[in-house]
Amino acid sequence: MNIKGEIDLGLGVLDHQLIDSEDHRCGKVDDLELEGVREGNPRVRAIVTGAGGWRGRGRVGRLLAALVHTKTVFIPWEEVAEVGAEIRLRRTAAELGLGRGRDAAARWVEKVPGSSL
Amino acid sequence: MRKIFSIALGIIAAIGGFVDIGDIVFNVAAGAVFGYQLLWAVVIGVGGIITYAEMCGRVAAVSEKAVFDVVRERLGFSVGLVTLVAGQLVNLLTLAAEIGGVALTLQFLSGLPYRLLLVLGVFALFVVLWAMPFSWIERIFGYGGLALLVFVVAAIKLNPDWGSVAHGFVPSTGSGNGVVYAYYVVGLIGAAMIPYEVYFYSSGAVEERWRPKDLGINRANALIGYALGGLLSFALMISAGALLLPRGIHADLFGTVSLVAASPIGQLGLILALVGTLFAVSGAAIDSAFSGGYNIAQFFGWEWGKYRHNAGAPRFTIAWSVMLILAFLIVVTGVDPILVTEFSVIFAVVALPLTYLPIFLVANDRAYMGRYANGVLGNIFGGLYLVIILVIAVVAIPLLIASNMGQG
Amino acid sequence: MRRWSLVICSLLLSGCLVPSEPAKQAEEISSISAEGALLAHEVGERDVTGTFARVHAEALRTKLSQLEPKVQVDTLARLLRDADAEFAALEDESGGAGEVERRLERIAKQAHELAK
Repeated sequence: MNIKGEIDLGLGVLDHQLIDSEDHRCGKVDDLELEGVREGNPRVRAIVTGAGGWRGRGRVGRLLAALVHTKTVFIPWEEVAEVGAEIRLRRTAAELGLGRGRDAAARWVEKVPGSSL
Repeated sequence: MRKIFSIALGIIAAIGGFVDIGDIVFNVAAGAVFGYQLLWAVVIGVGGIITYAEMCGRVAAVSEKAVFDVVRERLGFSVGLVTLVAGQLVNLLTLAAEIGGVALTLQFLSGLPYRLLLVLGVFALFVVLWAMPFSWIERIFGYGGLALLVFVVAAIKLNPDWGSVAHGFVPSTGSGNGVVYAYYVVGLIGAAMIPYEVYFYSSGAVEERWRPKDLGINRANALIGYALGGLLSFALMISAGALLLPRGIHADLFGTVSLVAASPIGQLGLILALVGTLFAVSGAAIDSAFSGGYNIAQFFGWEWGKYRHNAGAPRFTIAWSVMLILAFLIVVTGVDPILVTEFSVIFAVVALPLTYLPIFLVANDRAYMGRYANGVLGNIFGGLYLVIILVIAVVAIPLLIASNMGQG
Repeated sequence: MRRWSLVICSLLLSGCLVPSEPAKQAEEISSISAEGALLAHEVGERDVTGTFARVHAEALRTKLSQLEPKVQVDTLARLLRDADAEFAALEDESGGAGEVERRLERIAKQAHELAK
């Protein structure tokens, strides 16, 4: 297993749900950015979400990233409040740069009457 | 008191949710061709959905994760995405078939043209999905589907040879064309285990915030609800076998189903059959549309849920809306909904292992489940059905071709 | 309406579900006619609504018309035409339901014999 796999096994982070400080779902951990690998002291520098994250996940991921251009967002590891069944973040999705896709979708949905029923 | 009420509602939803157009088409067709000989296949299918749903509900209650959260975590991104695509294609076909069924049923009730009813039906479904509170949906479509109990009455009134009926519960290789028989075995098990029901059930469990203390409800829901749903399937097959087989009538038209209730009971039977079908199939359409939304939202980590108002879960909302539109486009071409139904069931069978396996693995994983992991009984049934699902997934398409879609 | 159904069905089904062997075609005609007879019986007994009968008769008739271009055997073709006439009668409610039922039953039996 590669370093990333070993780290993830310890953390249980990859592909898990991200939750912001307001309890909103804001994506999944698509990939991890590591540092200190060469020094023999590997740790996670950031969580990667979006197309950039998919590119690191094999051929299928690269294909999806080529088809769907969602913004790549890096979440510094310091922003993680808690690692459990979900990954809880210290700030809101908006503050972290997540949720642009959600906002774009919301603009369409709000046009239809009864969207806040 | 509230607990009993909650269980009762869940059971009713399970009955209504169990019977969809796939069950109707395959059970009546199987009865018309093979009489009572395939009742055992329905039993296997019902056992399968009970096993699968119980595991999903337990996983949701303990890990607080729904099916596609589990799929992605357990199978990884690549395999998980392939599973998502396969699952969504099956959902789409299922939804298209159900929409077609709604329009056909409305045509029998109103006499209006089929395509007009497709448009009206999809519009009505959209309004219900968009605006109706979920508790209303569960109640209205669940109770309405109970009208299908008319087929139990029909089966009794048609006076079948109950000895032969009893024989049908014993697995056999059947008389007649072996390849067609095998095709129907696969179709009947597949129709009973059609996956949108499980996606919907599991997502509901997470949204209702089921916890381990709710596992009693989970098991009661699964066992009683689906078993009663199976009763409806038996009734469909038995009445078809009693009425159609002796007359040499193949059942490949939608109207034939209601005829089966009309003959022994009269106009009341016809109306109840049509109304029951309308509610059951509409309910299935609603469930499969939401499931389409759930699956993609869960895989990518978007906000999702039937309780969050539409603007609160915008990508989930767009996802099910797009599914509804695509399904409409499929059926508006005029393709025979019965044909779409058969394809949807067969493809569901092929894709079934992809979503069953991660659930089975997680249900066994003590790291996720703690002391609620599968016990010996759970693993015997879970493992047995894994084998069954793998076998039928492999033979489904060859049988589809070899049996000429069950025509022989 | 019938012509449209025919065009669409031929395009979409591309003949893969329409049997091409005479024995199977005979079984199909027998099945459709038997169901027509049952429908006619229900009409006579007032077990079905007029709307249902009309819509279902039309559907059965459409199935017959899908078979028509593929039937080569003369006796089968004749039976098919006879059945079609009965369905037409059922659709516009001309002719007694009892008569239609009896005639369709006879056609069904003859087709079934031919299938053997």
